[in-house]
Amino acid sequence: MDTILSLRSVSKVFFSHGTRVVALERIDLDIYEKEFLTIVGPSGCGKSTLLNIIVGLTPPSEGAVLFQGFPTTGINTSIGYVPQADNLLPWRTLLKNVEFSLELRGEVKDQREERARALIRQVGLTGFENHYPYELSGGMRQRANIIRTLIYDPEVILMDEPFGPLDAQTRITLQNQLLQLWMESRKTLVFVTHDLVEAIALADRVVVMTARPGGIRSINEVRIARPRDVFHIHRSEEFRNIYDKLWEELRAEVEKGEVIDG
Amino acid sequence: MAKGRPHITQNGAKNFLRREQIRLGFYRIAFGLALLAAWQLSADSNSVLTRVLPNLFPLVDEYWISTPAKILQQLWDLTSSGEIFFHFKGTMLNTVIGYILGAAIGITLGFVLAEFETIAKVLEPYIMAFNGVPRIAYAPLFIVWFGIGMQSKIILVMTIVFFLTFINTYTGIRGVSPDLINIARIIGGTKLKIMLKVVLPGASPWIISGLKVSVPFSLVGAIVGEFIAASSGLGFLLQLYMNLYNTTGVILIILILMFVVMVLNILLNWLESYILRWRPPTSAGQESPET
Repeated sequence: MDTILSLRSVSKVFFSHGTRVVALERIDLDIYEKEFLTIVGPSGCGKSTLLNIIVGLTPPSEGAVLFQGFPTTGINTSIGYVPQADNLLPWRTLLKNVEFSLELRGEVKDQREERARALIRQVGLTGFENHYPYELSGGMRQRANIIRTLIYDPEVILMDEPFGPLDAQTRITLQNQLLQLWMESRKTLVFVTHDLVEAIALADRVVVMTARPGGIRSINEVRIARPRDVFHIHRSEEFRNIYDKLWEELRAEVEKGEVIDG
Repeated sequence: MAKGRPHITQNGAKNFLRREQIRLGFYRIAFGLALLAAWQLSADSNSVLTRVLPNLFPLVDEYWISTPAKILQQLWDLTSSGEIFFHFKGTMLNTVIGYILGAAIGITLGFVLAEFETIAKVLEPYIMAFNGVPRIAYAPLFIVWFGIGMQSKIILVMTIVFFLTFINTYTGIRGVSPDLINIARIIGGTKLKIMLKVVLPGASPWIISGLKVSVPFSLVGAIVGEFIAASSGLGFLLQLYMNLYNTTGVILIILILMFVVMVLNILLNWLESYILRWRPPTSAGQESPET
């Protein structure tokens, strides 16, 4: 498998109120082309910081990010980013929000509208094209948030707990939809979550992170056949095995984090 | 008002709101008419009440508060002679030209300085100092510099509108969520496109709020300028009536100014609710930034 992104000994140090906080410590990770990689870890372990470093919003304190073999500096526009808060533009309707990316990238109006409408139909939001974000539910906004990034087809897509604030039913529906969209486009997807079930159900590989300072505790392959059905995934034996193993690891890290915080 | 109203307004709610609006309008007009009637009756020496209760009425001498009827008469005289239009036009021209120039410069500079933070920080105490002084204090200087004609009034209005729109634009732009800007940068927008498609609409509630609060102040600027030294305009007329102890004339001018501000405010409210139609209806107008 070809590597599209590599993190080489990436560390990140913050200074807050005069104290030195190590957020990430020497992370080495290869991300393969077309894979679905999920990252789980206790809260505050630097998952979001890691994504910000990959996309180039914040530079690493040490180490390097290689994209297709070349070190990157600054924002990498080949990488899409789906933030946790939906961050739709409140003054744009759903349709205009989805078109927004193509508008910024200078595409002609007819084409962008056609593609936006197709994606809106695909995630079941037809009929809401002219609604403003405040008129949409949390689940609808999150769908719009995701297709706004999918529409311009970046090589790699990062998602930062996109389903975090949603209720359980909506989460599962959106997880299934995301899997379908990913199966069709087959882009590299890096998905951060704190939900272990979600991490396993979606992923080809699950990265478990350690409590602060964030590092990589283990990388685990998930050998559950695709297409997967998120609703019934817990019935698979492979799922139960890997869940038990990763839960032990995660629990140890969460407890460690609590000791440090306390 | 109606608390807990659902965000997505249904037809029923819309009808309810419309009926509420009509009722409110009716009460407002009734209140105004009652006020006028009370005014007329309490000052009019020829009113019915004066004949019935000569010891009590008129309550106040006409000399002090005039009467609505006399004011109407004066308005009619000034209108038929055409005199009022001359003065009205003068004041409005000063106000509108000063307003447009001041707003254009204020908004532009707000954008520029929001971009260059260091310059903004250097200038901040100076801007605050200039803005802190009541604008009337500058009026004599402007009259010495630019004469008693239109120019000095336009400049006075400009400085007032400039500061209000500038500060609002600057604050609005600084307040645009960095998350939204980062998303646009990641998608690959150029600086100009991000400015036009994210920063400008994001700051629009503030900019519009600045434009709105400027309206009455711009009129104040024009009137004050004319008050101090001028040969035409409503402020000049006001000064003239005051020197003649003509309360009817003074009150008439005040009422005309009130009317102008109200009309301009209604127009700007329409514009605001159109431009900011993306805001949730329950918070529209309430969450708008204050200066």
